[in-house]
Amino acid sequence: MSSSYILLTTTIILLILFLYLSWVFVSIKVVDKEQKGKTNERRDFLFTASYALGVVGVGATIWPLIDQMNPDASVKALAITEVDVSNVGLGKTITVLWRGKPVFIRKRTQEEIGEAQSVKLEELKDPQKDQDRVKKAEWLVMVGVCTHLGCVPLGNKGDFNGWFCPCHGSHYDTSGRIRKGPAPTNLEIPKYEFVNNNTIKIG
Amino acid sequence: MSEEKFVPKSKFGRWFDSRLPLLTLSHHLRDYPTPKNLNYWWTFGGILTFCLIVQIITGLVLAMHYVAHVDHAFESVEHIMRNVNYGWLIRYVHANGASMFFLAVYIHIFRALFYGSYKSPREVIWILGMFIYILMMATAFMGYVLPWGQMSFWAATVITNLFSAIPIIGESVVTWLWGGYAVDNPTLTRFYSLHYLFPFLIFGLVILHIWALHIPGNNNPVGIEIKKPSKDTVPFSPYIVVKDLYALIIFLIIFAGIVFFVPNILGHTDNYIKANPIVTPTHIVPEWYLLPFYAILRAVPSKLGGRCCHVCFFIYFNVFAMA
Repeated sequence: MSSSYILLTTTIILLILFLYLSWVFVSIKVVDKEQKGKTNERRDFLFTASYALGVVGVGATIWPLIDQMNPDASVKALAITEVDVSNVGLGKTITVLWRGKPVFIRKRTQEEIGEAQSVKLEELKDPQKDQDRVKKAEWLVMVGVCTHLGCVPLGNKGDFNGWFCPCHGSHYDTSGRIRKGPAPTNLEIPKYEFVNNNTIKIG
Repeated sequence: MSEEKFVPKSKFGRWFDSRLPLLTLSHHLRDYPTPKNLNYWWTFGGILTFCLIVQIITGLVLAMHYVAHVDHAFESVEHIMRNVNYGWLIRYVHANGASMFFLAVYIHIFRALFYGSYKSPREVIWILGMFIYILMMATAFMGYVLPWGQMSFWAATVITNLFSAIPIIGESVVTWLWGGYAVDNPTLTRFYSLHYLFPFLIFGLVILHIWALHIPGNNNPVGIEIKKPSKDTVPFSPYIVVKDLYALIIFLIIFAGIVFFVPNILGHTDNYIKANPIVTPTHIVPEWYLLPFYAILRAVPSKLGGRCCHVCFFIYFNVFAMA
């Protein structure tokens, strides 16, 4: 959950509290009016204003205590990883760590590329073209975290010559797409770019 | 208490209250008859409760980021200051919170002395308060050691060496406290553990302190015992709650002023230098709230004598409640 989302939620909760308090005081005023035939608007205003201010103050105080659990500056600084892929041979996979998660970088063989491109989209659980999952056809870069419950799938395994997750038996093909098993979506593609022919920048 | 027996209105309330009288407790706290002539010196009990809660909450947060190891403690504190979201704010509130806590507690103690609140029938409140004070000093001291700066290290060395004044077993006691032959990693980790524990002991004593207060009820500025409840009292809520809140807000403005504008004014710059066991800082004094005890040590020209004066001070302060 991103911090801006939490900020938004907190603001909305504060606004709702503010509206609720205003409503409470307005209804008290109405009752007063019915009972005595006169109102004390200035006092009601002061009550509402001070409670509202109190709520905002408490919210502003609590926010740092919540936000401190979000990724800190040193964690955010690690959000970019540069990888030298010049030593990766054809048909080999390297696994690098990006944001604490494994990222698979595979130099695919021509067969694998062919296999991945020839699959009909109707057969897929999460339809996506192989071309949409890679920037260069021989390089497959994806987050090595099973979309089911977060285990790391094993390479060169499973019914589709791709990856197989040992936890609950999800099979992925040579493009990292889910083919069989409980996982709902294909393996995630991180944001990455080729700095040059031998270097990939992830993040 | 001389209050009428409280019966919850709803059927569920009666069912619950007869099994766990939380509603009775909350009714008691709200309705608690308080002398109507209490002045602002009486608001510091509430302020202190607030201080304790702030220290516990901010401390809990700091413990999520702090590393209790001689190689990482200093860096982890800098990490909190620079990297953790609002870490600087939380640490400054915790560090200055200790000072504000002591400021409030000294005013609270002064009020008890000035108006004779320690006298019969309130001796137990006073004695519990003295034990809270001792625990507060121990907690503050151990917390001061955790950042592992120069002042931390030498404070730990000096204070633990106080125990070496005990005849015969002194040296063994100090070695036992250190878990070694000098202040080092074992000392740091045990201080961290105890620094986390003590506030909860304080919290327990505070509950007893308030309980003991609610038996005879508050003293008042005139010093004449009043009938409770009577025309001389008002219910705690809303009268005293609002008065306490007003005082708390004034207190918080001062607190926030220090935290946001001069957060290091009560600290020592040397504590931003990592602990170095072979160099003692030139100017070494404790935090301001421990200065009276420091002054005793400097004034008494004897190692054991100075320590005895500390103990006598504590015994005297406890006993004179009985006199």
